[in-house]
Amino acid sequence: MTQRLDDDFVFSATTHSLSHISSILNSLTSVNSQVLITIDEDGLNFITEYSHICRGMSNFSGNKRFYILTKIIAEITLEKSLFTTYQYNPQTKDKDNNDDTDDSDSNSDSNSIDNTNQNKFAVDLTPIAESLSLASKNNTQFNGNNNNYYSQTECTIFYKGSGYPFILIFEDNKMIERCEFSTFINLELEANNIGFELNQNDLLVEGIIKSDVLYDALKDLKDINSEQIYIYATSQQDNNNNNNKSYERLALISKSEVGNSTLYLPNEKSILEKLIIYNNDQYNLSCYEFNIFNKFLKSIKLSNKCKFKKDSNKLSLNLLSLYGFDLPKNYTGTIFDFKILQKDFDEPIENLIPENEKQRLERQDQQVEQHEQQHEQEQDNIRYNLNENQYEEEENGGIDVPIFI
Amino acid sequence: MKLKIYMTQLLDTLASIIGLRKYCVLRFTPTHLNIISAALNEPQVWCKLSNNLFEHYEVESLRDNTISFEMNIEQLLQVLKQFEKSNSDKLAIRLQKKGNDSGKRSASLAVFFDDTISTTNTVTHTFSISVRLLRKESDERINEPELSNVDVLMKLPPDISSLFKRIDRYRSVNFLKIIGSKKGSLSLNVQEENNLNVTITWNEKLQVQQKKDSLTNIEDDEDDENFEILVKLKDWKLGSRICDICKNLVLIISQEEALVLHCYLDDDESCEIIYFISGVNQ
Repeated sequence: MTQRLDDDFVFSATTHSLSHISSILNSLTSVNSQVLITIDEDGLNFITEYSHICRGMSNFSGNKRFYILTKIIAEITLEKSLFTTYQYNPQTKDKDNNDDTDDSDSNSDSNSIDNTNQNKFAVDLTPIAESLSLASKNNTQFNGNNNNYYSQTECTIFYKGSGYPFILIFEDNKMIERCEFSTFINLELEANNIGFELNQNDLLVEGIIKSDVLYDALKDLKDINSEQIYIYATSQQDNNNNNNKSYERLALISKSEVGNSTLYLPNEKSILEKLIIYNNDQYNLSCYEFNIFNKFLKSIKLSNKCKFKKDSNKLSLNLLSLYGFDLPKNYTGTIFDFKILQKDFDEPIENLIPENEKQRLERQDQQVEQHEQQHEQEQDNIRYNLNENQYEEEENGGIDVPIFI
Repeated sequence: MKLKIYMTQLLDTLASIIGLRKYCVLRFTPTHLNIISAALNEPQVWCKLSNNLFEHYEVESLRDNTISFEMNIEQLLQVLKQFEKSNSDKLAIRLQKKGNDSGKRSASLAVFFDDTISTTNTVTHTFSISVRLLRKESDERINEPELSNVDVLMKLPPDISSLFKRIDRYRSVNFLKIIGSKKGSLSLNVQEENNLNVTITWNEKLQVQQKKDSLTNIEDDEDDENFEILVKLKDWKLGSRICDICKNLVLIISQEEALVLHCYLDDDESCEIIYFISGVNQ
């Protein structure tokens, strides 16, 4: 047994929100189990990546071979406010290093250089999420008797610095569980955002959508074994009436063995809070491997809202989650940050959205505009068909909606 | 020889030990029925059902009125389950010598009960399970293991199984270390090299029986002493199950030798289950 004194630590925090944290971390493991944790005074940051290179063949580029890079960066931060106590003493570690005569001299130099990295380490997240989840389940069982949903189990997180294990201590009225998870300085896992930031000056599409609707849509596409997914966003200025009205719509087009399937997400303020297409483009189309969406389907399920942004080659999804019954009061939510590399595609848009459909859409829009008083609006959440005359009028083009982040 | 039985204890006992192995020795003595599940260098279960669990219990043999035989308890368990589902309240078990001489030692255990389907109709279920009678010499070789040294003997609370359930999820781990102290603290520890190290400690100090001879040596303020035993996690699974169904539980740690779980199915102590796991040297 490796019992160590717990009074000399770099980081120590206590929380009761086990159900929330375990669900969040568990959904992150579907991207990758190897996760890099960074501790600072604001919270615990978990970042991981998934990348996969496969060789593909394309019919459109004359049977040329090419390589497909799939890459996801997933990041979450457990905010300080999620913890009832939160202590971070970066100095302790420094002092420790200087005092520690056992440390070989060659190390002390690198330690001072690596000052910024000393609270960064890799862990295998799966057993950590499992421990949390088990402790939170025990908890609910226990609380079932008195209908009290306040967590009885208290979880304390300890970290003593580089080379020490990442420790979780679960304590309830019956037992104490002390879990030590080895930490690694994993050189293979260099998950970071460098070179993977969205170019904020070159945003093409931006929007906010309700997560449950997005989840249902993606779940449907998953059930039909989608292989690729295209995100199609379009905005059309109404030229007939000079009142600056525009219609935005967002569609998920999937390619699978059974053919193409197009899901139009409803353009209602309550669902699609905002959709902006920049640069006066008529539309924007991007393509992704469906299996990468699969990897964060769980996270979408846990979240309330999804904010998406894309630039010329990357898509970013920010998910706001308030999942779980054990969150502290006034907690604003945990945010998932996913960045996905877009896939090259040569599929002409006409193959996905036939030209006549587009024209019909435009025509229908005008009809809707003209006869909007007479039209009964259907309220289906997801519309599969392009031929329905049910697009609602957007009053302000959705521009002045507050952004939640 | 004739036995008439009335039971759910037997069903519970068999159901809990069947996970260890299917072939067991049943030894009927004038006072007890022993169910012994044992093999060389493996965990053993000794169950002792008192004869007063049976409404009618009769054993006669030339060898001190003791009969031992080996059988596959799976079949017996199935019959008992069927009996439980039926509306019958009496089950009879009778050992019968096989009519044809298919070997001196083979016999069969006849199990029968009546199931009333309607007011006028009853169906009599009769099952015959073949058993192998044990010779006196081979039966005498089956002895309850004895501990040369008991380091800690502690009484476990009824809700202790929640402690054991915590380690169920570590499927990849091979060994479980059980640590008990002289003052009654109980911890479980599992480790996976270069990955994790989990220690779960029961908060409450457990009741500990002090050995009489060493009691004189222990002063009040003496430091707590830990005794630990390493067992295979898969062997402990059964122990965890026994803790789940039994009421009166005692855990015995004999350092570097064995872990023993001694418990009773009910408060009346008529059905005793003892589970021995030998320690692993690492």
